[in-house]
Amino acid sequence: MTGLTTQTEAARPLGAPGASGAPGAVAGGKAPAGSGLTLDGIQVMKAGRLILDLESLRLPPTGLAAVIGPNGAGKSTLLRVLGGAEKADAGRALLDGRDLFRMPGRRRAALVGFVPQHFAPHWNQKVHELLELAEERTGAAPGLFAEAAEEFALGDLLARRWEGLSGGERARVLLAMALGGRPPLVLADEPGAALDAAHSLRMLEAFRGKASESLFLVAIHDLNLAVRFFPRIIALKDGKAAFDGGPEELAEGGVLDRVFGVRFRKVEFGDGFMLFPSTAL
Amino acid sequence: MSRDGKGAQGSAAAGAAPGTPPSGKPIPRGSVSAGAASGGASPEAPVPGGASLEGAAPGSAVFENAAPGRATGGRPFHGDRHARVRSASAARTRAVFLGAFLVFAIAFLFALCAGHVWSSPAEALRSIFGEGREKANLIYLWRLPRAVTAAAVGALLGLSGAVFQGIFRNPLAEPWLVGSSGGAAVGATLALLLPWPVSQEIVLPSLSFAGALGAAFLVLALARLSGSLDTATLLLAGIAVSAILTALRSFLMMTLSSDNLSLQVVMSWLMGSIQAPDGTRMTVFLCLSALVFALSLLMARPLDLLGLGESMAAAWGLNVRRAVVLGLILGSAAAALAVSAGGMVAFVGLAAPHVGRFLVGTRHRRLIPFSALAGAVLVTAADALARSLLPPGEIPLGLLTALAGGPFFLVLLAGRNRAT
Repeated sequence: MTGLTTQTEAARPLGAPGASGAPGAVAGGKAPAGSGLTLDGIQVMKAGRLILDLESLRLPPTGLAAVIGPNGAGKSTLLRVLGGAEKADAGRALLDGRDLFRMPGRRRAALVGFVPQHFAPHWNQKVHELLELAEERTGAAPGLFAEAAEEFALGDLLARRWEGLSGGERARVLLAMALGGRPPLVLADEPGAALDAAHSLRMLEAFRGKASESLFLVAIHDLNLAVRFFPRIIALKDGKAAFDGGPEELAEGGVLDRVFGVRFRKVEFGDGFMLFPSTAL
Repeated sequence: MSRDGKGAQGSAAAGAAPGTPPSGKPIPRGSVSAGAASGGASPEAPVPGGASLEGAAPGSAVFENAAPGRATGGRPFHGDRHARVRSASAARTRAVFLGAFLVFAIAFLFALCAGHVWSSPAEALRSIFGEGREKANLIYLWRLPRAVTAAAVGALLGLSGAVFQGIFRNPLAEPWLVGSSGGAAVGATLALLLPWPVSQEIVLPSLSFAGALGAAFLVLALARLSGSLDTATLLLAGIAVSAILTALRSFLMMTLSSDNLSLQVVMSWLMGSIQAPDGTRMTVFLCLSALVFALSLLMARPLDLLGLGESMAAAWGLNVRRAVVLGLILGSAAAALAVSAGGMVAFVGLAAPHVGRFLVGTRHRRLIPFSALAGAVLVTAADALARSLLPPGEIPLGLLTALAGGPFFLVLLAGRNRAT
């Protein structure tokens, strides 16, 4: 019951909130030249195979964009390459005109908030130690991370160790670590994969709350969350961009069916819709 | 509802003010100021959705706008808690370091007093600060250099343990287990038993270093080859490499020793015993130790980042490969220096960082100095016992540390198994 209310409520503001968050601007990606994120000819080879091959992609300076696609489509690779966790073999990624691939790692680390798919620190650090590290990486004003700790309700967790935290608590710590310095670009690699419904909704709401100050590029498996929260959706298939547009377009004309190799059924209700995979093609 | 939300936002912004410097300045890339951000976000914040979820997880108050009233309730200043936890941890660290320094001072004094003939602390102090009596001479000329060497060897072992554990991201890594002590021993055996055209003061440390570095890289490569750096892999690789090195060393000792080259030297050295270098060699040894210590502090940030996992470390701006190579070189240099002055001393490098992580936390800029200090305490005290327990003989230092460290290692393994 509560779940349903949430869906309809959340379905309404499709556009990212805030001044620059008019849905059209985000979906159309018509940002002034030089600002925002511009990806150009990014290629990644692994074991002699081209696993990522993006021709060109332009994203505005702020807003929410989802990256969807079947397993192995290159979602993680794209985010890891942009975040600096992996190296690209070709291409460039300009963030406000500066190439993320060619700037010093520490500078990139200050500009990008990276939420990895798996985060398993080796020393069972205390939460405040992790936040300290995150803060040092950004060189942000000290107050910012204290604010983030407050914002994600980490007060009681600060003196606790990572391995003793629940999945939801870990997610909050990771978000504070990634978002604390208010980076202009946030990359989240299936951040909700290990979270229950309430926590993954809250995480997406946190993203939406900040979509007016940063650009969020989020790899996500749950298509219904993707169409509900993200005004801009990029679908990858075999390392190539198979679709780039709004949720309504995605649900039309069998785009999803081609990307996932599954026939999807669209069920409309109220002012939203849901997508169900019905039969494999 | 919306008025509630606005009120909370307002108070949140007011609360944030003390911690937030004037907008524009602090965030160099800042496209949006803090005030504009929260103002822009609030009208669209799905308050009803959040409210309906509140019941689902009451303990975990907020993801930002889920419960706007609660974030500031009862806490007038943002980050108060954060600052408190931090300063508490800093105060604790200061106290721990102070305590460790005191313990070290006591251990050092004990080392000056200990010997075949025991001296009183007063005597020991008097002998160092003037008044040359015969017994004082013994303390000043013999026990003092030995205690200083022991402290340096211990500090080097503790430090290299902390560095190796950080590089391998494994709490069981230490110079002895990752083979670098064994490698250094092979190098040193070669240096001691072969006739070299250059003086031994150069050959011994360089061959020890080369051996230590080679062995550490070999273990790392083997562990990488099998795809992981987990405890089992590391231990297996370390054991395999150590076994090979031990065999190699024994073979060298058998074939190279002759009547005029005494095995005794090599043997006592292998079981670990502090040999205080004399004159300029002492100066060189201490300078190199200080240099290694200073360099290891530069490794603190890379090691912290490595502790987050390689992906996160790379994302946060670390050149992982370079950091690993530099760390191995540094850890091996520390191990080789320690081996060249103290032989094979087991388990100090394992134990010191463990005590450190327990007492000062996981940040390496605190952990490395503390491990060095703890190692210095351990070896200074152990060496004092080694040369005073069974007069007129001397117990090999390595035996004492292994006796104390072996059980520690077992407890550690047991604890790990219980945890997993």
